[in-house]
Amino acid sequence: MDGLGNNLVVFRNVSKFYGDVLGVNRVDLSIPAGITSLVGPNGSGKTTLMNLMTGLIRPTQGEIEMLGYRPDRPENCFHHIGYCTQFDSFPAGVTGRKFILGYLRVFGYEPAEANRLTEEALVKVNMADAADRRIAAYSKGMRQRIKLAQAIAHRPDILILDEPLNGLDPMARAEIIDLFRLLADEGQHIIISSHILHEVDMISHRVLILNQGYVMADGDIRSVRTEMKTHPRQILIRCDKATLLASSALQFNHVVEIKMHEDRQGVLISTQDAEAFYGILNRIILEHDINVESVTAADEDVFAVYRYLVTEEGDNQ
Amino acid sequence: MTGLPEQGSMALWLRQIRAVISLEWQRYLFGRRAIPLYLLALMPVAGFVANLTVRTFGVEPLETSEAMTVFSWSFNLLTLRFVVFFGCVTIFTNLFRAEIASKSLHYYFLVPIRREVLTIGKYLAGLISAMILFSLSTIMSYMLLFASTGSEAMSRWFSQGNGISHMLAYVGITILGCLGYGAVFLGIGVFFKNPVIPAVLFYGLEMANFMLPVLLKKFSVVHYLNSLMPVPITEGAFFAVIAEPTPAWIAIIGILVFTALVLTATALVVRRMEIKYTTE
Repeated sequence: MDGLGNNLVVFRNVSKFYGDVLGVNRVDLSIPAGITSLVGPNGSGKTTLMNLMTGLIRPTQGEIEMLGYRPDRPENCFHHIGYCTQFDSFPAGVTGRKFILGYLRVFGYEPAEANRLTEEALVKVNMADAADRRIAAYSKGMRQRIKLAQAIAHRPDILILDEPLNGLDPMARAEIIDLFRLLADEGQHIIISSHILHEVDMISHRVLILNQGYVMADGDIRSVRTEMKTHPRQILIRCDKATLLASSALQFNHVVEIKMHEDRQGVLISTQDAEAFYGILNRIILEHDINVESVTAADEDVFAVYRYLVTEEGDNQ
Repeated sequence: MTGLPEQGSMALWLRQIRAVISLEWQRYLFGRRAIPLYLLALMPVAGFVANLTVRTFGVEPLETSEAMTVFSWSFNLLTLRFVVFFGCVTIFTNLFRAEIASKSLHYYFLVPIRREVLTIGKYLAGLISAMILFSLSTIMSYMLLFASTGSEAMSRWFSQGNGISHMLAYVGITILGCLGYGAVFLGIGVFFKNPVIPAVLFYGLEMANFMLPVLLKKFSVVHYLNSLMPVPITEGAFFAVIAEPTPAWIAIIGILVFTALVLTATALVVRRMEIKYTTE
């Protein structure tokens, strides 16, 4: 199939080997619109996956479809894909504006249209004022933003970003994250790889955790965490009778560990069955007339999932 | 996709080729990469400036017939086999290879352009640069050499003799040389990570062309170019294998067909090319 046959990024049993070295292995994926983050340590296969999506490398086996287009047919699929790579390199001697404009002309746009799209992209990344300076004179953050502008200039349906927040100051980060949210709200696929887990956690609708070339988990972070039966889920309860709550909770078999907070106003409960515990908790609160300040899932975030799946997995090997 | 010609249409390809040319062609005429090319192009010019200077200060002017022979030899040995050859090595092997080295080729590969169209665009950009530089070098060399025959003889040669037609023939051969060598070195730059060794081997083959059996001569670029020389040169006395010159029309078509074949093969490789900068 070739052409907007569906609204998904699809990998079917995709493997990539560099000689004897594994890039990614037996990847089956289906990524819908929204912000998807690729998370994993260096060498886990994040960039390989992105390069496969964009046809910069070809799979050793398997098939990839980007909204129904094959990435090995650039003439069709790159109207719909923008890729901001991690390479901090540019054609020699160009200004920011010429860099974006030049490649838009290669798309086939007329000069007036290419100029308009260039200006629009420059404004989006807040680089309009510096656009006529040579890229060689840009700071790392500016180079990152001009690459991003080049990737979004043709208004792609899928935006793939390899470590896009690298080198950006906190202000620029916030602006760029807002831009990603805006693009995702417009129905785009935003696929981001990042090491900055709290930002991933903040912006992603969905995560894909990779380790040593394998997809360890895929989905929205809460359902990924729920699927991880081997690690008890942690629930933090802030209340006025923490000791009483702790002793009541201990009576249930699925509660495996309880830690009291130093100020005795909080208790961290580890349970094998979070849904059952939430049901019991209501009863305990009512029975003992406990004033509850907050109930939060303490490990339903990317940090925790990453720690369980990647760090501890690595430690066990 | 407003403002774009229909996908796969000739109008789109032509527009894309124009865009690639406008991004590329100046790289080899201006900037640091151009310095060795200017030095190469100026080599024959410098020689003929020196000759003109010497002749202006006392030495007898050259006879027109002598100048014709001198230019023919100089053009064959220096311009074609050295200047154009190594100029094309510098320009065409780098069209893809330099962008792989500077990690910027992926920007082209992320644009909706057929890789075959990209290859042609880059080739034409290189060709424009090479043609401008080496055609100018040929014209300047020719004018400078015939200036040393004296102003009267020179004006007669150009107004009543074959001055202009010979000069245009040499420019034509230069352009055909750029076409043929350009295609070869574009291919070498794509096929080989280190294009120096295959380029040197090809140089050896071209230099030893006069010794090759008649059949093998037909597989070299210089053989066809020599066939087009307005003033034929006799090939080396030692070990030379004399072959009948190829008729001009066959030589021209031969180079064009050869160029098309090499470009097609190169475009097919570019179509399958992957970006793996770290292993290059």
